[in-house]
Amino acid sequence: MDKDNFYELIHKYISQNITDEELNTLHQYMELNQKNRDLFDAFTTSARNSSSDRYLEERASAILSRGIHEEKVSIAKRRRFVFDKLYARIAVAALALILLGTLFYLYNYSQTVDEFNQVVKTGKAERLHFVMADGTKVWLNSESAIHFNKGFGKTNRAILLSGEAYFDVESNKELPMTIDSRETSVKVIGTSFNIRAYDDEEVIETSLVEGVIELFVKDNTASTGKHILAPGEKLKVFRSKEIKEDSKREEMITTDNSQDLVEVGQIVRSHFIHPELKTVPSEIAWKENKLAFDGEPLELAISKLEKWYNIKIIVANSSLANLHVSGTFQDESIEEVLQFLQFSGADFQFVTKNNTIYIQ
Amino acid sequence: MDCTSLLLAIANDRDESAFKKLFYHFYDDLVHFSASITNDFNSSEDLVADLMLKVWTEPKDILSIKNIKTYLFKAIKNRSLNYLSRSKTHEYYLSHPHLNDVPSTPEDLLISKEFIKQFNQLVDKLPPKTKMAFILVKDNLCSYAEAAEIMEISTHTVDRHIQIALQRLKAELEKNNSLINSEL
Repeated sequence: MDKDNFYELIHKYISQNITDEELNTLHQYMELNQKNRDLFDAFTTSARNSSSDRYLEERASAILSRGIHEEKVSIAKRRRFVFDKLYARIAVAALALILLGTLFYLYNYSQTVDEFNQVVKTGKAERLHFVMADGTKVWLNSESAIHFNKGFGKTNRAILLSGEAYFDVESNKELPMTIDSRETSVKVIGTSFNIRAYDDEEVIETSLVEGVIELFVKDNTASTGKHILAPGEKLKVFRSKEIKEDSKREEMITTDNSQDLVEVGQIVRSHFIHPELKTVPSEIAWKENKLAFDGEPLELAISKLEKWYNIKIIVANSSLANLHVSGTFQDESIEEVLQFLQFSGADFQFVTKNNTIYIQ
Repeated sequence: MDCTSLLLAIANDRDESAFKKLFYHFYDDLVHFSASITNDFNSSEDLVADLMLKVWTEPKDILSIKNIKTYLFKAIKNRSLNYLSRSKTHEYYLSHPHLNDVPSTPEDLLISKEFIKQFNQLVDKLPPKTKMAFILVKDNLCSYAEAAEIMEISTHTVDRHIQIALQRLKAELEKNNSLINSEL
């Protein structure tokens, strides 16, 4: 049997132009040895990925919800042609002025969730990746929501965030993007960064991967005002008045010989990307479906675990509060994660009862 | 799948379940094809999402299409090539073709994984058009006729590309690998 003939048969097979007799010969070649089978498989097996039904459902739904928004904009555009008479135009102009004035007033004096009437949100143990109308890519972590209004991408790029999200912002100099959480406001042109701002956690973390962002602290504290972040920097804004001794020590340890540690009132600035380490920083690992802890207090780790696994965790032993944990997990169960933490030196026991885990 | 009635349901009835059917049917194939051009699976997912969004938001355009399959493949081909030309990572990926590690299917697990990996790396090194034709046909995305329409070439030229792909892969495999030299 010669090699060229084998390849010619594969060619005929691929082109769906093979006779039964030739197919028989091809099978004989493959029965000869494993190597021929491998070769045939390589040439004929699809390398195409098969997404799960659930994943496809998520992607399709994200498009449909994006579609609703864009459709409304285009319907609005079409209707405009009705007003082609002069008086109609004047009336519209006058109305627009009044409306603009009202909007300006509303914007300045009562910026509320009502204005942000479009919403994308995730439940517990749920994560979502989608693209906004302006091309900005958003990864939304568990129990999070972003609100925006109908003109997003056209007249404004204002987002209201609760929870955690990673933004890969499409550059647009004319229309900067603002992302508001309860205590901070971030202004960007085109960058990639992560914000963690859960209402039930006492720190808001903003981590910048690429570009530049301006962060405003709204609260009237010592740190109120503008802070500029450079790539690789992370800014923690503490909600409570005093920085917990605990967290401060953690920052000191992780940025050990770095000169960049600055504390301004309630703010801690640090570097979260360490070029010498090839691993993905824990701040952004979640968007690749990895749950990561980087020497962080047990309290924060538990908050992350609760949201990731949709489970309630109760710490019965207060002396565990000073514990710091590290590790990266993908597709592990909550029990496996806790067992790993035990192995790696965290001294605790846990029991599971009714979807609740008790740690002591 | 009856595409014509799906398209009608999408365009006229704004039927979300019809859109989802269309989406499920083509999504993986389109992403796979796009990723073979961009070498970037995530970006290709976004490119396909953008294309499908256009299908949903501007359905009047799709009603005049005779063959939705070749239309979608042609559209994603153009979008992928555009993406590639404006992508700043272009150079980087070209010089690192091995970064294109396409997630493997369960079938792959049954056969020699290392060999398949090596094989796919060789496929990445084929000339762009040859690679495009080979991926379309080999990965069961298309028939010769469909591939010809998508690439805007004749079926004869598609066959030439397949022949070239086979010859090159054979030569490379023999060069790199004692795997097939012996018993054939």
